[in-house]
Amino acid sequence: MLSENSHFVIEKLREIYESILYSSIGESAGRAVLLLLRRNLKRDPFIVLWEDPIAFHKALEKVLGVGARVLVRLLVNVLTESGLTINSDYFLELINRGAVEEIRSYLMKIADSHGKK
Amino acid sequence: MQGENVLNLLQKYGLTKTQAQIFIHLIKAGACSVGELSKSLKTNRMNIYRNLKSMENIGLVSVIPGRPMKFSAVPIDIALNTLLSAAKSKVLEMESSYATILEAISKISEQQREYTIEAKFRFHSGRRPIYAVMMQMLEQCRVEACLLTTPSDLICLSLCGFDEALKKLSAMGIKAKILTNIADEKIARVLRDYAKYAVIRHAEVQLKTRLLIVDDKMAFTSLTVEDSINPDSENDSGFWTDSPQYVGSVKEFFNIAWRNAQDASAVLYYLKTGKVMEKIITFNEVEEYHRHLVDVLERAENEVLLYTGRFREPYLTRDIINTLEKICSRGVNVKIITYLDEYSQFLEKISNTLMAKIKHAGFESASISFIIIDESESLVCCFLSSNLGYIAQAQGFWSNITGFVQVLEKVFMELWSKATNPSIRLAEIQFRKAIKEMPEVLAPLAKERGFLFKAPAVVKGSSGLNHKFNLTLSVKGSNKPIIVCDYLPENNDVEAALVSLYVKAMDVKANLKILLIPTKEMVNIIERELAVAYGIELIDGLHPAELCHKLLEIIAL
Repeated sequence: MLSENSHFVIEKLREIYESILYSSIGESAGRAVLLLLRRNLKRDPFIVLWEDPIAFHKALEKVLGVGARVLVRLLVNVLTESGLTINSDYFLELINRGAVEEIRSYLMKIADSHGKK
Repeated sequence: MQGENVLNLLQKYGLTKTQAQIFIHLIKAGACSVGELSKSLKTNRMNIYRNLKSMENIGLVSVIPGRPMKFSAVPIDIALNTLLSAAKSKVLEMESSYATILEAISKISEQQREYTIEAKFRFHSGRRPIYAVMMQMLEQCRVEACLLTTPSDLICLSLCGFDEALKKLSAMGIKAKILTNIADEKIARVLRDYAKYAVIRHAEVQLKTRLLIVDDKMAFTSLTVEDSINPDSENDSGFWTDSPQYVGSVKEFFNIAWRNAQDASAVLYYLKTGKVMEKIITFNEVEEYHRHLVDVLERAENEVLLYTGRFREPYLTRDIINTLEKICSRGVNVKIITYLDEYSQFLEKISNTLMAKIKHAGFESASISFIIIDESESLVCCFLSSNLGYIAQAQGFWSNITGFVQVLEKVFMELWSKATNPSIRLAEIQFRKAIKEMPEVLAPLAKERGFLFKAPAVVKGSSGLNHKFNLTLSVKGSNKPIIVCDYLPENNDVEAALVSLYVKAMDVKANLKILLIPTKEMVNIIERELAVAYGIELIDGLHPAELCHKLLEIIAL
């Protein structure tokens, strides 16, 4: 059972991620990516993104191959627009290192900054 | 001489000049007829007779009956006493009616006040009479005197003692303001004397007008002042008025000019040190901006930094482009940032030298243009659009304020570092034009080769989602496209375009994926590797025929 706070973060991430996907690669392609992720993870990809961001990224790599980093870049762009200083290479490094807590803190910051808007 | 004195003294007792002359003549000559008096005093008989009757009524002459009737003067002491008594009783009568008249008049004045204020206008010509009027005005000044005039007029006024009059005002604690154009050291020297008794400001505009306003009650105006320093010049005129409306409006004019004027001490400092005076000149017409722009460009010696919202009219004109070409050829370092689009003008006609100085700004901000010349002067213009979308007006200013020029230069250099090569942007513009025309060229060629061609096309994928492609080609009789093609989107994000095409093509099970791009130079090595990994063909071209030819070549393979 998800806590209320986790539920808020997951819904915010869904909202932000969908918006980024649709505006950058088009709505139908974005929906297709999410569909493929769901099939691959056999769960809601945004719950996985929050609970196990490494697994989410691995699934994304399975779907998009090397193009997965493109979506990481687009997500990190949102962070920098919100005033956080981070680049996509560092975020990918966190994923490779398995730094779950640090990744989650960034995800919370994304959700928090957009939740206030 | 003594007769003249008596004549004057008798007039002070209330006699007219003729009556006094008659009385003196009668004392000297004794009794006389009207005819004799007329002859002696060289005036007509009727005039003599009328005056004699009045004098008889008062008791100054007595009648001697006869033919002709004669008149004699009463003894002088009786005559004077009679005149004194008459005057005294007149004074008493006046005193008794004083209060009555005062009350009656005050009632009338209350009722008629608004009609009784009647402004006066007086015309004066000749410099000395004009200066006399101005001095009189200063004598009446109790609060403030404001003078706007030419430097020559100030010099001339000082020759006639105007500064002394200001000194008196200053001693009485009365303020004086002088507004003039401090053009050179000569006027600066004269102003040093004036500055002891008045506040002086420098007006940038060289008006030939003279305006003296005293206490907001009266004004003297000369619309055009002759530019000589001759106090006796007759070629000078103007008018004095106490019209409240006129004085109010010229005072308002003076106040505006005063607010926009610079303190004289700053101007005197610049004149003394030989430094260039820091100032701002505003304008509000597009044509004025063009004029200023050509002027500053022509003054450029080392460097010109120009940011122009768009590379077309009215942001630029043919004259401005010619001037830019000219200064480029004489070795001035020119840098231009602009937003290049399909409506950009002059580009085909400008030289390679000037073209090499242009960079494309990656953002659309058409409303502002600015220029910095030789790190010493700047020009900023804001274009205002009408409701119909065309540029209707401009507001801007020229300035040589060092701090401002430096800030603007930093802004320009920041933009310059982010601006892109114009050749890539021009290629993009040409590419967008080519892909618009491409379907028309491709359709018959595709048909010839047995393909069904659609642009744009919507294809349903295995996920059930409908995917939109810019172009698809399929074999006749088959529902599924074998070739899907997208154009590089306006944001030029090659990676996102590749991911999008890959995902959509995978869902519709396309055989061949193609991304059309303007030039290969726009794709970096990482993007090229991603295209290879996704099996996407990159086709570049700037002309519809070129793109079609390459597309069909790949299909044939």
